[in-house]
Formats: sequence, C-alpha cells, structure tokens
Amino acid sequence: MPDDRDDEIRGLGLAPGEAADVIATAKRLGAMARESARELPFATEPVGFLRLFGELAGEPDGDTH
Amino acid sequence: MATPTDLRSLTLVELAAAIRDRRVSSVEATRACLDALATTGVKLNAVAGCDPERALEDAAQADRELARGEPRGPLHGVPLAHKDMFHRRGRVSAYGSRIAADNVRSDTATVLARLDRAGALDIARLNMVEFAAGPTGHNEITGTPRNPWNPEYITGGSSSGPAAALAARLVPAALGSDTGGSIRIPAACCALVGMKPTYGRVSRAGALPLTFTLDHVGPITRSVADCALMLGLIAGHDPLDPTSSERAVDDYSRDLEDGVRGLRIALAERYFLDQASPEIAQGVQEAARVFERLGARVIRVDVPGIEIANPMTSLIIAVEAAAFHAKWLSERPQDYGRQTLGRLAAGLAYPAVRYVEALNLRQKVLAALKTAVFDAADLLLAPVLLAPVPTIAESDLAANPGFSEFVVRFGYCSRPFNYVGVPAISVPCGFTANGLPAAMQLAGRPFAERLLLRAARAYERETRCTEPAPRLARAEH
Repeated sequence: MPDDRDDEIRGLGLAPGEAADVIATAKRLGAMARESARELPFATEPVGFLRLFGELAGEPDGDTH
Repeated sequence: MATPTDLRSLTLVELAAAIRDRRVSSVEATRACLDALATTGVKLNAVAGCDPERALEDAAQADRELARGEPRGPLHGVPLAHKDMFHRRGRVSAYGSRIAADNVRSDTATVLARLDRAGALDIARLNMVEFAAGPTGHNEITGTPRNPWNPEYITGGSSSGPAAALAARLVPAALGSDTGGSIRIPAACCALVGMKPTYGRVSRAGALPLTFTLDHVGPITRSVADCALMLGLIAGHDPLDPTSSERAVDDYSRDLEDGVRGLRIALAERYFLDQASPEIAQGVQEAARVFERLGARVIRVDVPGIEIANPMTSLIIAVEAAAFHAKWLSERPQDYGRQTLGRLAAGLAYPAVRYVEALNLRQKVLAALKTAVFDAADLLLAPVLLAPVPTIAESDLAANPGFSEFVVRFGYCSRPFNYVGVPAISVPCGFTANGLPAAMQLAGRPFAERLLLRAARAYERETRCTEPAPRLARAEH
C-alpha cells in the first residue's frame, strides 16, 4: 500500500537524505512504541496514568486538577 | 551610587528589595539593563525585540507609585525579559521564527499578567529556538545565541536567549518553557537555575504551544531563592488553561533554608550515570556526596524501563507539533529553518495508533519511577546533559543526516520528567575541562517543587554554585 505520509513529508521540500532520515527514525520509534505497548495491561489508559499521577501527588482520588 | 554593573550583579531578590527600599530606582535599574541588552545582548544574539522608551516610561511610573507608597507587589519596578513566546496584547510574539515575525497579539499570557500584577516590568523579548523546537539553541532564522561563558559554545535551548541574558547579567530573571528540557538544558549550559514545574502547576494560556502533553512554563534564574520567588508568583490555577491544577500553591520560600537532613535522595547508576561522560558523572556523584555531608541519605536505585521515555517523548513532540504547525507546513514550508522543518516533518510519519501507544506508555514509566524511586526516596538526582557543553560549530547539524538522533541524545536525561509530568530543577555543579558549566537536576513527586527548591538551596548554600559569573558579565559596559 502506498504511504501518503511519506509523500507528504517528501512534499515539504526536505533534501532526499533528510526526508529518508526522518521517515526511518519515525518507523524505528513507531516500532518501539508498538512493541512496548504490548506489555501494557489492557485498556488502562488514560485513567491509569492520571490515577498514578494523583496517587504520587498525595491526592487519593487521583484528581490533581 | 551603584554602577550599572553593580546593579546588574544583584539577584532578583536583592534587586527587588533595593527598589522597594528605594536604594535604587526602577529607572536606574531599567536603564542599566536596557544599556546591557543593547550592547552585550545584541552581541550575544540574546535579544528578539525591545522598546526602551516604553520600558523607561513603565519604570518611571513604578518609581512614582513607590514614592506614593503604592507598591504593586513583590517585584515592583523590577525589569525582566522573557522568551519570545509569551503573548502580550499589542506586541509581537515572533517565536524565533520568520513565519510569526509580524504576529501582533490581542491576548496577554497569564504568566505575564501575573508578573505584571506583582509589579515587574517586561522590558524585552528574548531570542529562542525557532518555535521552541530544539534543545541546542541553534536558530537559522534569527541567529544562534552565544554562551556568555564562551561565545563559541551553545547556550542550549530552546530558551536560549533567556539563558544568555541571565548568565551575562543583562536581566535578573526570565520565563522559559520546557517540553523536553528547554528550561533545564539552557540553565545547565549557562550555570543558572531552571525549574520545570509539575504538569499543570503553571498556566500555559497565552504561551506558544509546542506539544500540549509535555509543555511546561517555568522560571530561569540566577539563584534558587529567585526561582522560588518567581515560581510562587506564576503558579496556580487559571480558568484560561483547563489543564492547570486547582491545588493550592505552596509558599516556596518558606522552608528554603531548612536543609536536607533526613531526606532520601535516589541516584540511578544505570541509564543516567553509566551513559554520562566521566566528568559529568563525577560532578553528579560529587553532588551526591555533598548531600550526604549535609545529612541526606543517598540511595542507589534502578528504574527499569525508563529507556522508553526519551524515544516516546520524541514521538509525542513530533506528532503534536506537526498537528499545531499543519497549516504553515502546508502553506509556508520554505519559511522554516531546515532543522525545524525536519523535526516537524517527523510528526507526519506516525500512524495515530503509535501516538496513542506512546501516551499510554507513560503509565509504565511513572509506575517504575514510583516503585524504584519515590517509594524509597524523596528525590531523584541525575545529570542534565550527558556530556560537556558543545561548541556551536560542532553541534550545528542543520544539513547533517542523523541530526534527529543527536537531538534525542541531547534530551536523554531531561525528557523522562516531561514524559511523566513530574517537577525537576537544574542546578549548576561545577565546570568541565572546556571551562563550560556542568549541572545536575533533582526530580520529585508531582507538586514537590517546594522540596526540590529546599534541596537545591541546601546544595547552593554549601557549594556557592551560583556565584561564579562569566568574565563578560563582570566587565563594565
């Protein structure tokens, strides 16, 4: 499948080497996100992060706002 | 009578007291700062804009109010200047860019309004990395600010102009923003104190966004007491920023002198120290020994999984910044600097699912910090940068393939705390062999700014780490 995102990046006028570098880095970091996210408990976000943030802030109900 | 250099050597707390006690007039202080901004400030490329006539009128008005016994607040008549990203009604906010060079605002940032209410003057806009998108300080559009400790070296970024201006003693304090280290890195490069508060502690209304999820506004100062004073004035809920917390604001100056006896300070060898250059690692370990001498207990910890924080911060910054810049990216890509364009372009490359996964992973890193650090200790001690401050030339990667990797490495120590939103403060801890400053940072639980400041002040009092000034700042202009 053609990747529209890559075309959009190349259309910005970056040098070919720069565009390739940007795309390669994004693919690498994206793969890292995908792999790491597999280890997360099911359906915990965004509540899980906010609750933990609140707990660390000493707010028992997790509400820091 | 104090010379202009004497006046500019005063800290924020000292200058505010001198004006309040009418030992110095606001006009005298403002004129000293304006003269220095027009000479040294221009040489250092620290200044984005200045209206001296208006500044002197404001100072004269402040002096008249004080003569009538009507001080507005703790910073009455004190001249400040800030990163060129905080809006003021009727004034340009150019964001270090060509694209926003004529961006006259109709709003005033909440943090500026709060400093106005405290009586401070806002006498200049300070240079910055284009759209705050970069940690080294390079700016292809407005020019790269130079480090007052050695003009061949970077100031760090993105709050580059504020760091140059403060280190050169052009103004006593400034506001910056920190998305991946943009307050702490320039503070570290220029021997200053920089605080990234807790996410939600300081309003971002009227400030240029880079990355909604990770942006923080905070002070850059020359002493810890100045940092406490500034933070207390700008912190607190703002109806204009729904992400700002309604939690009460601490009195950050109250127990500043109470020391660190009994505090537990965590030090992570893996990830932080083992990746740092020997001189940087030694500086942080020496700081740990200072804390131990002062009565703190240093605990060695490991934070499993923290490695993911830095790359996921890159991903989130890229995506959110690309979304904010979408219109300009499509209509005016040629008007961006090449480095900025490359960084923003990266955000277009990620599928939405990857972005959400990067957000979700914050829970994993925060849970690891809780278990490894905050269940066992009060604070975490770490470097700010992994290596000594580089020269402008060696870190100018505008046309070099691979620059994104360099940027990722530069924010390696600072970005984890943006990722999970906990507060962190950068404090000078000596100098490296190239004569440039080195720094440590202390990070704490959400809303632990008071504790961070207390620990930073204990270290500052013991080592006098904020007293050295660059030669350039000691010379009379």
